[in-house]
Amino acid sequence: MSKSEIINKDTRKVTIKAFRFNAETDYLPYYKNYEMEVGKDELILDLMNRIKWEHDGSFSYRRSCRHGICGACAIKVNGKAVLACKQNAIELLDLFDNDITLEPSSKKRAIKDMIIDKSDFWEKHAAVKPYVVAEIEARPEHETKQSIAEFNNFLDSDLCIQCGACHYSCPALEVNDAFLGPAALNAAYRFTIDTRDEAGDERLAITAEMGSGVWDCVKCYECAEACPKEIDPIEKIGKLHNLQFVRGVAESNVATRHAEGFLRGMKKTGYLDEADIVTYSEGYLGMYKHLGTAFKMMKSGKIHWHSGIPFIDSIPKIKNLDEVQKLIEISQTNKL
Amino acid sequence: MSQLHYALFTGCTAKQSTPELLSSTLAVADKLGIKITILEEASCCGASHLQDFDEFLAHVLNARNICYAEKLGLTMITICNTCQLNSAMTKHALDTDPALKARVNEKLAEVGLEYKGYL
Repeated sequence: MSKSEIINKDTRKVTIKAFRFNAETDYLPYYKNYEMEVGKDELILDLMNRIKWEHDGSFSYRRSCRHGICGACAIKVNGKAVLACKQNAIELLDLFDNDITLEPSSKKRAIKDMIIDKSDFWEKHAAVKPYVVAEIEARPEHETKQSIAEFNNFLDSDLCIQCGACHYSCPALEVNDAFLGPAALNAAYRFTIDTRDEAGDERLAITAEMGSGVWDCVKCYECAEACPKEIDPIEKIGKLHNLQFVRGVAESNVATRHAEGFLRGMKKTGYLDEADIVTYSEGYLGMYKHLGTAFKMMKSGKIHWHSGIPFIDSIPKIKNLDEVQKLIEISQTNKL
Repeated sequence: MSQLHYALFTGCTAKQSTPELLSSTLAVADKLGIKITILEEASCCGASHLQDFDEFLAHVLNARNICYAEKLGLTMITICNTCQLNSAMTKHALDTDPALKARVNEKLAEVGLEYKGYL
């Protein structure tokens, strides 16, 4: 049975659940229900306002601009990152069958209700030097402009409002506290691509570090899904990967060899050579730790000997392989 | 009703570690009366890793795969989400950036192919 009661076509009576927690007085968080009538034009921010104004004045959340600019009111509704002042409430009530729960962007960082400690976000942001680094004259005679083409290279990275929706939706960050995360990496791209900036190489070195930089992104696209400004942070992470090679600052390591190593199999057969890329990127010693998996794969018929002989021509060749070989030869622009 | 007919971009893993993907796809298509033409010319999509290394080269190789489906006049289907993603990314990039499409086609012309972008 639906939890809502349709009053007229423009409003519905619903019960909104909200995460409640006060780090100073509560040992554990809890959830409370709030009944209200929701209009078709109301935003998630309006629901939070009404909890505070009509039900419980102690309900706490950050809010400021109310038009998607300040980034203060990012929260999660049923686990989905939303900017409360941009997200229509009825739309989410429809999506979740009138059963919605308001939670902070990151429950483990909750200070009071929807308010979280965002210091990890700001520390990571600061770590990539999110500003133009340049020697400027005290009394410049002319403006230091960007051309339209130069500006277009920013893509949409400059539109970030630092709301943290992508950062606190990133599963790579959830399991790896050191990872810079999509928002900081987006900022790193924004200033590295700026032709007025002189710290590009430094930023590329910071963002290429193993364990914390771009190679630790798991390419799940959750950040692109989460961003209320539709910035597509993972696109900028991909650009940072490329810039390492374009600017010739990429170090040879397991991650860069894994990226470049795709070409080895493609030149031989047109396909990725799954075994070769492990040996090439991790070395023979590194291969050793995968032997258990390889043996299990062999037992369950997941390793095929195309030619009938183990390890010899084990992968089929694509038709017109010479085209791929030629295209790699004439189109490759980067080197490791 | 005319028979459904698709060009199948198998990708690498269906030919290596996940052969069950390919055999089950073909078996289901057969039961449903869907005709499948395997794109035996299609190469690896780069799996987002080649894209990290050399974006332009990755576009050239993915455009080549799509060319073969275009030649058959068939809609290309995939059974690997990575192949789907990277083919779609190249298609989107080429269909929205005429200068990039021209640069890619310049390379493809060397092997007698042209990406048209009508699929």
